[in-house]
Amino acid sequence: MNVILLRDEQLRARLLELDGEAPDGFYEDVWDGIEVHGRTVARRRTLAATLVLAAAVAALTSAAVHALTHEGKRIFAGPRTVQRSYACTIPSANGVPVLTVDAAPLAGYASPKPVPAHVIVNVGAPIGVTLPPPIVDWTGGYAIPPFDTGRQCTHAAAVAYTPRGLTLEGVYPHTRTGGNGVYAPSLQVRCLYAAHVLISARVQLDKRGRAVSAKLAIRSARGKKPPIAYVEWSPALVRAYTDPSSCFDS
Amino acid sequence: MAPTEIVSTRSARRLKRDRFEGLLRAHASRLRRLCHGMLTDRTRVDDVLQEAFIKAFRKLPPSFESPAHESAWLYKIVYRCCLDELRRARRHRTAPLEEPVDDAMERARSSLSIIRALRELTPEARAAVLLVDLVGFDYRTAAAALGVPEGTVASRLSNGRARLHELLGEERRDQ
Repeated sequence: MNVILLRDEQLRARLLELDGEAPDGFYEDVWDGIEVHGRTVARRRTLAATLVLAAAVAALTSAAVHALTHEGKRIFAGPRTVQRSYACTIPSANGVPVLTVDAAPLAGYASPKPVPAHVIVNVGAPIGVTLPPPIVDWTGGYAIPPFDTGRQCTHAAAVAYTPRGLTLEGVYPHTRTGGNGVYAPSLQVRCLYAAHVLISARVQLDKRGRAVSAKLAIRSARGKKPPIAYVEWSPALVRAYTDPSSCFDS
Repeated sequence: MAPTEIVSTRSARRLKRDRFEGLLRAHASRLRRLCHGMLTDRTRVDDVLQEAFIKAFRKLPPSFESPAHESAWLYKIVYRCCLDELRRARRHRTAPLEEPVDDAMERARSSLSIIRALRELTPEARAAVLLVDLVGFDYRTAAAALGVPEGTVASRLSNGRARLHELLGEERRDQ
């Protein structure tokens, strides 16, 4: 093939034939475009700043609400029902699995430091051993904290909320006594021998996320799943049923 | 915002505009030729250049280390915009329009042939040839503008030149 090559200078000359002249009005269009773009960016920045400000206000408000409720443990808000069911293995305390159930109505509400109504389900532990976080824990007047923060349990099907098969352990109405370090009568039981239990709690929350009524049912996870305890709770009244063969008032 | 701040903001914007106008005055015709050579389609040059200039104005730094750095920065923006346009065209399968015939028939014919020859090169080789042989960049500045090592520029340039020599030489022989 016979190819005639151009010299580099000739190539440069050919490249200069490319169009280098801007049409009339081109730069006016460029400046118009820059102005329009500048205004669009300014609008976007204003919008973004507004959104960031709104998000910051929302975050601050949320953080403030969060901080003001039960040492920042609140996770539920709004009037609704929360239900949780767990299967738990109860560690032994001094050789015996111990489940503790405490429930109290509001006491000493007229005093400067009333004892708030509460429910706590926990596991016992040998003396000197730090208790794990409660499995179930709520206190009237505060938004309820998360359940089972110690992850001692797994989720399970709910058990029946009924006192059938149990004995009435006590009825604890709210009282003006208590507070200032003096405790009014309340449910405080230790249930032994149940190494595997099923725990269900159904809590009714008000619009501020505070517990206003609740039911708590505990059954053994073994065999025919015999009931261990059942508690109906409100800040004004606690009614408790237990299995007297395994639970005793502590 | 206080009146003095408004005045200083306006004057800063005015200064930026003056700087940018100076930059465009110095490079406008070469940038247009580069863009034309890259796209090989005159009808799309204005849009791409406008997009590139808006981007450049928006990102214009307060100062440059050197004139070469300034040039590399500006040509890089135009080169990238051309590549984006070529990709867009490929996606939408836009065939380049035939160049309109100018009044100066001879000029149109030769311009047409250089466009056809450039179209035979890859966009990267085209850019290397245009930046070095048309704009007059050294390898280092061209490499900075293209975002590749100098050796790559040399290689692309060599291949591009050889191909262009071949195509344009054949064409001249045919005439």
